[in-house]
Amino acid sequence: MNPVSAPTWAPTLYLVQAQWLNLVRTPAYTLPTLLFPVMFYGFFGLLMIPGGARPLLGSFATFGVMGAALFALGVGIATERAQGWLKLLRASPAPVAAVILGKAAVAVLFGLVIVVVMSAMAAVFGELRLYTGQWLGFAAVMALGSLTFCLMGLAFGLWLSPNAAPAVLNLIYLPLGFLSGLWIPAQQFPGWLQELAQWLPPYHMAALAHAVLGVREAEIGISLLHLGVFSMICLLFAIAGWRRLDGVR
Amino acid sequence: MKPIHTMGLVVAALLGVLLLLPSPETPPRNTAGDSAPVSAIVNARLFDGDEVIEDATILIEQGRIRAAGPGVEVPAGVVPLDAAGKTVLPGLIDAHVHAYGAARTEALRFGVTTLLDMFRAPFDFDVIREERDSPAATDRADLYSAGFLATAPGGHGTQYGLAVPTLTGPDQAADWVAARKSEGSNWIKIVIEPGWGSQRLPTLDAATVAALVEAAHAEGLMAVAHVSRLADARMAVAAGVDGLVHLFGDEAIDPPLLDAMRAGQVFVVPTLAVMASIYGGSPPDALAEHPVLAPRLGALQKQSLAQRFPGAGGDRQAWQRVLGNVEKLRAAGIPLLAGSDAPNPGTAQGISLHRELRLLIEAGLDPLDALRAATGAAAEVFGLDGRGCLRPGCRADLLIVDGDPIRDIEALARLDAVWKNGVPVATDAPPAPTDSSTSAPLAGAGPLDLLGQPERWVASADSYMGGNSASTLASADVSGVSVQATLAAGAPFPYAGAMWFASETPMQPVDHSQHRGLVVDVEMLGDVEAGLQLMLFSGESQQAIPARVELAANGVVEVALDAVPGLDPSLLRAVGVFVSGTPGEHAFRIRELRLE
Repeated sequence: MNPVSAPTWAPTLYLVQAQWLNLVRTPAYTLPTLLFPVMFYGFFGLLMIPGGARPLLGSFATFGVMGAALFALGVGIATERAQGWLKLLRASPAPVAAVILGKAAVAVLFGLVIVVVMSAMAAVFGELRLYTGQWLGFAAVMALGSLTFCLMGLAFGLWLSPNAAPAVLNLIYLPLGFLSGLWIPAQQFPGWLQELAQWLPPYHMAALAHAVLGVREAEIGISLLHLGVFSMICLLFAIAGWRRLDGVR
Repeated sequence: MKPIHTMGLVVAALLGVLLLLPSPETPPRNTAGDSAPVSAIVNARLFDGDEVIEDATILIEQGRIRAAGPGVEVPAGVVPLDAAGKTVLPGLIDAHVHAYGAARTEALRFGVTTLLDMFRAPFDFDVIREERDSPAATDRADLYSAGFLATAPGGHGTQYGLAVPTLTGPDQAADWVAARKSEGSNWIKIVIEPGWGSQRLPTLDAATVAALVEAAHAEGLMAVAHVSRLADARMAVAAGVDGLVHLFGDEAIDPPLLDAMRAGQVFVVPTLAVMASIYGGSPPDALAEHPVLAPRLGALQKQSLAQRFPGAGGDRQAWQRVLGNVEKLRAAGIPLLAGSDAPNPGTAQGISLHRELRLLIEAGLDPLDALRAATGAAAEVFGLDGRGCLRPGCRADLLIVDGDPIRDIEALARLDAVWKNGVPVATDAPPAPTDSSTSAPLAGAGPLDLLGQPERWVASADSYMGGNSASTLASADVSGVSVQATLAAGAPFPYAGAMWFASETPMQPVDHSQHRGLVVDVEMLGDVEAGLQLMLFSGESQQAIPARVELAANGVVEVALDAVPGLDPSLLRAVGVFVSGTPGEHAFRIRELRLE
């Protein structure tokens, strides 16, 4: 391919595709990221907790999508930044932002694979029945929520060193999931912990999912506002990190 | 294929799966026997939940009553069901159950179409609410529930292995009630139980109870109380509870309390069926042999009906006081509701509500009031829209019985049909399960010396149930099992001793139906008096209360297995030998224990 004569979107598309290949060619990353939340949902939602099929679908799907987005962007960008790959790209006609766009697109898509696998399990083994609009709406909420965590991952990826990234992200991912009530419903927390949960983004993503699934009503506007504000904060950190990246050049 | 095409295919596949995922079935058009959308019952004596109407016609459409009464026209083309000589009643409401397992199906077979649960885990309340709101055909009774109960840490209600959120003071009441409301509790149940007999249990104080009631009312929920003594009932009524969900037999109810209850519009669910089991003052439940009802009993129902409360029985005076208290409440005009407390030992879902009604009548209610207590009155008190009534708009949950239960309550058991949401339901008990999940491996034929399996023996005591007793195995071999046991107050019925498991995996059932008897010889080593008991764990549920047999010490005793009430040798899980009663140090040696 001759990069000079190619249309300007071609390199972008090329980098997006490269991110997809990156995903499918690293089963050592893909399989655990997929199986971890799916397995937990199988154990808790379908086998152990009676009546858990519906509420825990929302919780563990949130957990899985959050993980896929955080690690793809957070660890991925940190590593490639350190390898000098992002710097090298500047010599090519491809916009460097296309790497980020590609990673985000693939993370959302991968998150949806997790969501659909869990949904199918819920329908087949948990006998969950939802109207088609609900199934689609649930997937849409998960895709939208995934973008929030892509931004969060990006902010971390642009600031953390590649060695620190996996450790720091794990340190944040698991407690954040737990404190947001993805493992034990926040309603069963002591009062002060419930207060805290309501300030965490996964709590609001799960609340939206639960509203679509018909588990309990949510204050949809407030939850969207929380996710939006949080996304903006992450975006600001990402922009600052990006500028810093420019400075390195 | 380019990766971008693969990605497109993945997106298409995901979308395809989402579009193919199943949707809820649209409620089928309700039909009863034929294809007409309207069903009709004619020539019936109708009890509509409040009054009796002779010669009534009942029209049912879409799971609800369209019209009911004399002079109602049957639409052209509808073939009506002739109910001459029969009575049609609203589906019964059991106002005190604990609904788990197959409870809703078990109850429905006996005409109990609505269950008011007084303590269960709330994890599936969204599904339960959906099913309750749907008028589609179903084989389950509808369920309303209190969810978790309010109790003190370690108090009554915490001993069943369910992590109950407890509370310790009035300042936690508002949060506690709000959490229950968000879980979907339909009302709040408060436990006031300082313990039975000499046994003491932590319990909520008056200030906390009052704060809970206030918080419940602020959230728009009713608050009901578990009490088992007059003093606690007085405290609950003073705290402003809406209802008491047990009656008590420790003392006769006094006029000041009656006045306070009338002023506070407090209702009572006496739960005579479970009281009869606790006090043993009434003859054993003859309904278990009833020609119409008996075939509807499932295996678990038979088991819980045959069980007895450990250490219960024989207090006829307390039982007479309970009956007397019912009469006093009735005379004072306090609303009484019918509730069985199934499936506690001696009761079972569905059938025990029939017994409850007979006992209420024995205590002095007239049959019409007893039927109201299980239909219209319960619906009114608990605000159950469209239940317990057969008037236009009500849910078409109904019973058709032979004869007139208003004149003779025994006619209520002559069930001709049970309809739920306008459709007749199957009323035969399912055949005993034969699939591998519940059938146990068969034990070898011939006698089995339990002492020959020392690896299957463990020390066992009531600390498992929250008590303070303890035991250790001094030795266990083929010559015998020696046990050091320390009995201490704590559990309702303190015990300590040793237990043999039927399987290598503790509490897994093994089929011992080929064994007829148990030969046992226990030597008491200490000089302190103590009762000696066999406990036989069996049945489909690991949580089932064991069958108990009092044992004479220092001599060979033979126990015929088929004479032990509540024992199912085909699903034997464990055999225990325990000392019980007098606190202190005990030692005994099992010299012989053999299944033959």
